[in-house]
Amino acid sequence: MPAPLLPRSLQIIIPLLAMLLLPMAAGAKEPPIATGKMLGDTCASCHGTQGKSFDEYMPSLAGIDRQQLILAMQDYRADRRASVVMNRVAKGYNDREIEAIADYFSKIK
Amino acid sequence: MTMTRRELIKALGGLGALALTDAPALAKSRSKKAHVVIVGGGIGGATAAKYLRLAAPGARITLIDPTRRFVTCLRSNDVAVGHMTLDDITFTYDALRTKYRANIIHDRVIGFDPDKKTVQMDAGGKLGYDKLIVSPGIDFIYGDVEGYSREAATTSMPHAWKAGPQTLLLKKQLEAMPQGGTFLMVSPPNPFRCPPGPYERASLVAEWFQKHNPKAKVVILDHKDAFTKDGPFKKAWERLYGYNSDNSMIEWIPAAQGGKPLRVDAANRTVIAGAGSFQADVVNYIAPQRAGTIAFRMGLTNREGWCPVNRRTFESEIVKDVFVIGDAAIADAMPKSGYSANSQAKVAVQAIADQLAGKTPGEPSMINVCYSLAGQDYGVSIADIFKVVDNRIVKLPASGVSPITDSPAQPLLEAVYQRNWHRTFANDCFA
Amino acid sequence: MYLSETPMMTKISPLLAALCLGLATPALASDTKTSAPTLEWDSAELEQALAHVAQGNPEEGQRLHHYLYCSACHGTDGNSPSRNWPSLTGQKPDYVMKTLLDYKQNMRRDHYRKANLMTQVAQLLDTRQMADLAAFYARQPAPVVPPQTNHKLAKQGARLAQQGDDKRGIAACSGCHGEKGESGITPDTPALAGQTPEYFIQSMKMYKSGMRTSDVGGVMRMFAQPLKDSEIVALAHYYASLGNAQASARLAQTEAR
Repeated sequence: MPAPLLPRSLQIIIPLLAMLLLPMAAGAKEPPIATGKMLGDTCASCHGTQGKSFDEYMPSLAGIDRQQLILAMQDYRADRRASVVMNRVAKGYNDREIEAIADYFSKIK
Repeated sequence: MTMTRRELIKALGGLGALALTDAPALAKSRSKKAHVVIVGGGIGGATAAKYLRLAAPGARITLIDPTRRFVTCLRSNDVAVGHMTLDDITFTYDALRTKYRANIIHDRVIGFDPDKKTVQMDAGGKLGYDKLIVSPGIDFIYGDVEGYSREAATTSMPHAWKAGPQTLLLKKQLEAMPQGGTFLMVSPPNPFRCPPGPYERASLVAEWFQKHNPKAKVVILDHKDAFTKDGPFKKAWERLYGYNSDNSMIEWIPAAQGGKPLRVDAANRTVIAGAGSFQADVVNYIAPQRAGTIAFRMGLTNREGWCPVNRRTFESEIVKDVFVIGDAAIADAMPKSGYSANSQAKVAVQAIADQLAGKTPGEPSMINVCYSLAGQDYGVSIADIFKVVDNRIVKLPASGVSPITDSPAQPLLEAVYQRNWHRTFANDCFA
Repeated sequence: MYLSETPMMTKISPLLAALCLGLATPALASDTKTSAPTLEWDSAELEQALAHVAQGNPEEGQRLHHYLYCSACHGTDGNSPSRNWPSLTGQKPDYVMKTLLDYKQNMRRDHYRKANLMTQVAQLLDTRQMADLAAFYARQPAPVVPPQTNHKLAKQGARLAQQGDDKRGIAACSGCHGEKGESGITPDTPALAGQTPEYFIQSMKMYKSGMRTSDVGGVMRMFAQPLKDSEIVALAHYYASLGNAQASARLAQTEAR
């Protein structure tokens, strides 16, 4: 296999690139997930932009306690807590995604 | 792993920028200069304008739509049966203009130069863009069945599938029906806007008949053999309208039983299908659909009449730096719904913000939650979360349609939620 | 008859009144389900209405909690995890029963509007089911301290709650709601310990403005009148802080992750 024809500067940077990519490779077993914001935006269509919607029906998620939200989603997903829609919605998110959603909303004032 | 030299330089370019500068500052400075133009101010376009501002405080945002107010198709069936007014489902662009500082231009796009990255407006001249979002919605195919025409659609056979004057026309015809008459609906072939919409409309019309025209009937001629939420819908029809009994107020004729329309006699309000000739007092002919005309004019459609996009970003597969969202986009498992358009707008915004910041667009996540009314106090819903796998949008298997239960609270709460949801959802798009 | 007409409030929907099965015959027949809350409780009539509470079956209540989707909002066991809605665990059965009757009779407002959701859901319940639900919630320990409780504010609220303010004619809340907010002395004084502070604030503001009229004899409307908004907030956090200090085992487990 012939040596790659690269400028010297790039040859120096390659190890750096490898180092930066390494964590991604290590995490390759787990598929990538969307950011907490991207995931949280899927909630916003019902729970209000940035989770702000105090009213009789949909709870505001902005500023919600992180653990409370995780527990609620786990209960909905496992059908421990009956609900009209949230059981089905919660089944669409894995543990890491639920934690990312909880991180995102718990930090919004 | 091999990399072409070009790819490598590109990758390093991105990393170099990250290493040398403060990434958020970079994002800010680039988005400041960036001009994002949005064509189409429906659910998708409005959501995009709002969320773009939230993601890129410094960006220039322009939204172009010929109309000054937007009427949501959502809940327009309630308007057709008089439970709501057109005003209740009409929204303005005021908040997008003032709160989210989008430049709103009421004009028509008549030309497009993808190389120079400009759009030509009818009255307002040329506008350059860095990124263009097109949210074209749908238009109708009039020529597929003999006798059906655009003219028929505006007179004797309204579709009422874009909310507004058509909705009121259908309402008027419904109210003018003789006692014991027939309301005939033609439900379109897939794919089409709002898959549960025809069946919600049939339900609400049947409920209206119970009060105002108790011997009248709804007949649905269908291009299909199945429809979304058909399980809970049919259960609701059984419970509320005698479906599957001799006195059923709703008759559904699927394609397999000759439901597909073959010919239309518009003047006599008659639809000829395999199952026979159906003369009715009101014919609600919901025509087959394609991407909105603007998408064709801009060259964004494929042979089937829809817009192919990269599923992770909603960037057009035909024209670079142009993003197509909403009903017109090909989104695989995602239905053509307002909720989908709202969700896709957020994905496109993330991709644009990332691209403008010199980053690879992040992982997308999409959702569709849709409530329909089978009666004023009886809702059915579907809830799905979507991911992209191998450039296809797939839905996660565990979610889906409302279960059929014997709890009286379930359909009641779904109806209560539906009403509230319209308000919350419209706020997420327009306020 | 268990609902009394007050001079300024005269209308009740015959449908709604008729739905109060086995309890009463409607006082007055008139129109519209959508009009403002129109009736007030008379304490003797309330007592009569609550006679069924004792027959509540907590097992059946637990089933109904899920079957009727109460759990969707009020939490897996009635301990509400959101900031919109009240926790119901450890509540006095009389008070839960009264509240459900309030809703069924269209007497309640929530979130500064006519209560819509609970008013409709309550139509599905007969008095036996209300008693069952009340028994289920009462059987469980009081709510845990809500995570959003501000303990600094709680300290500010403590004095007012325990001693009131003679100069301004404010009675001590503890006089009716218990030393630790554990329970009230009459059927319409709820336990307050561990209650969601946002819900507490909303309720008090609606009493203060006269928007909420479900209190017998207008007592809470009177007590809320002299309170400043900042005092209401402090009281809310004080009562929230009196919840069970121990987080539920499952919540603790999640926190450890």
